[in-house]
Amino acid sequence: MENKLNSESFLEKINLFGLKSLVISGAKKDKLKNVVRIIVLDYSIWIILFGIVMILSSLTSRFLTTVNLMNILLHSSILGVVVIGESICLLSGKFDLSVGSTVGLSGALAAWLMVTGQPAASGWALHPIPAILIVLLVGIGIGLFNGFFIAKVGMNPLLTTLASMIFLRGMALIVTSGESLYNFPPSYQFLGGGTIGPVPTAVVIMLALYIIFHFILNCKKIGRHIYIVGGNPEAARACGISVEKVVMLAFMMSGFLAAVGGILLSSRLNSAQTISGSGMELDAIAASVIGGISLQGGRGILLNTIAGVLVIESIRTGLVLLDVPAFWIRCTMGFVIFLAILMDTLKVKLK
Amino acid sequence: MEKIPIIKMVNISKNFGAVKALQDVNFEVYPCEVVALVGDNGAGKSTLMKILAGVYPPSKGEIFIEGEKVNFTSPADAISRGIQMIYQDLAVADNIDVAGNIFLGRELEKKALGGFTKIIDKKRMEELAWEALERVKINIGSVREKVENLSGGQRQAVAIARAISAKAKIIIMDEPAAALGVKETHELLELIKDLKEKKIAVVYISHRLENIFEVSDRVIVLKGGKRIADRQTKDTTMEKIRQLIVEGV
Repeated sequence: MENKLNSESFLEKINLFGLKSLVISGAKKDKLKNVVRIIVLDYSIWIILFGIVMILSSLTSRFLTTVNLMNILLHSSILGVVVIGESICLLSGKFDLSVGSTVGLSGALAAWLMVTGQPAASGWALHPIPAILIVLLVGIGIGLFNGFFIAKVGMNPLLTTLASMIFLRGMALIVTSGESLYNFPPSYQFLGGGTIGPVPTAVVIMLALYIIFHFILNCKKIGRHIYIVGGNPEAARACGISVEKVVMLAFMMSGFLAAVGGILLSSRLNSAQTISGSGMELDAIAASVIGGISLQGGRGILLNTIAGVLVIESIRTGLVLLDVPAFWIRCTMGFVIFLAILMDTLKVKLK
Repeated sequence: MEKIPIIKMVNISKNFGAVKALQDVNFEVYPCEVVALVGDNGAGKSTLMKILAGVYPPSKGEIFIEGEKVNFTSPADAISRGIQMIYQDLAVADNIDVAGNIFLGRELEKKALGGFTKIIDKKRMEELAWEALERVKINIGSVREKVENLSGGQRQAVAIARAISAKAKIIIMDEPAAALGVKETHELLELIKDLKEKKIAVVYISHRLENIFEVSDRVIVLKGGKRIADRQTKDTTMEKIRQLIVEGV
């Protein structure tokens, strides 16, 4: 009975807040606008990637070859894994500059634990499985450390992770006594250097991680909360979401993924160098932003960052193939990062 | 016997450093009551309500809900006791869709992958979001629309629908009409009357006395962090309340 009354008054007051006309007249336009927005704004990066591949292929016949494309994919797989973590941090509205050093330290630590016959190693000759577990735990611990001081203590994320970046690079030097360690056990080398069928193992691992974290971000409560905290931390707090916990988890995921990246890189090179992964933090941020993850937090689609990674690696490889001097490649990469951030800013302004 | 107040705040004080924002303030709301909380800027209205919503802990004082003493350490505690606050900025996440905002922080889940894990139940959230919007008699084109694409009134509606669907016993509104036009304000006041019929108490913080006299049962006046008056709306006039706000007598 009450329901009926309610629905009657509902019809009567359907125009509440003057919405009815707005909704009806807006519906058609909105639909068209939405389709355009989805293609142009949400997935444009794949079109850009296609364009870049086309241009580079037309400039040099060496670009569009199986060997080169496989090479780009292999390079992309390591950066891609790191980019997942960086993107999660950016989505939560923060930054992680320490991922490059975490990559370096992870490789160094893995080598120190496993490698034999070199004075700089621990001499424990650990089996790869416990060694990998230790390295992953250290990665998560680094994220927990960053996340704790950023979320709970309220320190600036940029400077906190910059300090971690310097500290962890130093730790990598300490662990390996400043030397390069090489010659990992074969099962470890398989991760970064092996293939499953025709596909490099590292690429399979990267794709698997993309799928897992895409699922977490889009289907799990914690993923939703990462987007909410990045979009409006005050609203998140007012609705009972623990912003601190969410930010800490985001950093822990980033640390974990950077450690995976470090394992893959050292495994592929079959050596751990103290400078491994340096500069990767900026590549990771660039790939995330090129892939449409907003620096303002809370916006972006994780899967698109694969395209971001491929854009960066294609340009880099393409320039090498075109015999562009290394210094100019550096300048170009800086310019690409600049363009990506410019685009991100303009996108926010357009909205 | 007197009715048990749904909310009773006793001798609440709040200091921010040396600033005494509230001093020994009592505040109570009875079931189905619309209480207006008025006072000049800095009188302590928002601070008092943020204490009730669990945003700040009080420096001193006690809070009782339906006669039971509570200690809120976070907004989540207050929400779990049926207290919903609608902030001036509405606390909506622009990057999330309407359904997601109505279920912000209390997303529904369902089992997935053969019970192996739980995922967000988007479909159920969308259905219930429609229901909540219907209950506040709001029509929004799609519950999948991102909140950033909505008008001020629509955003307000989302915030209210959220409070209602969270089974609020009491809804606190901080200057809810601030961003609304004349027509939308009128509709908001109708909605508040409607909430009262649905047995939800409302605390209405506002400077606009004409709105207050249209919907409220009782007016409480704060000045300089103290409660200086408590009047039945029908027994007083706008002129008297204005005088209390400005001169304190």
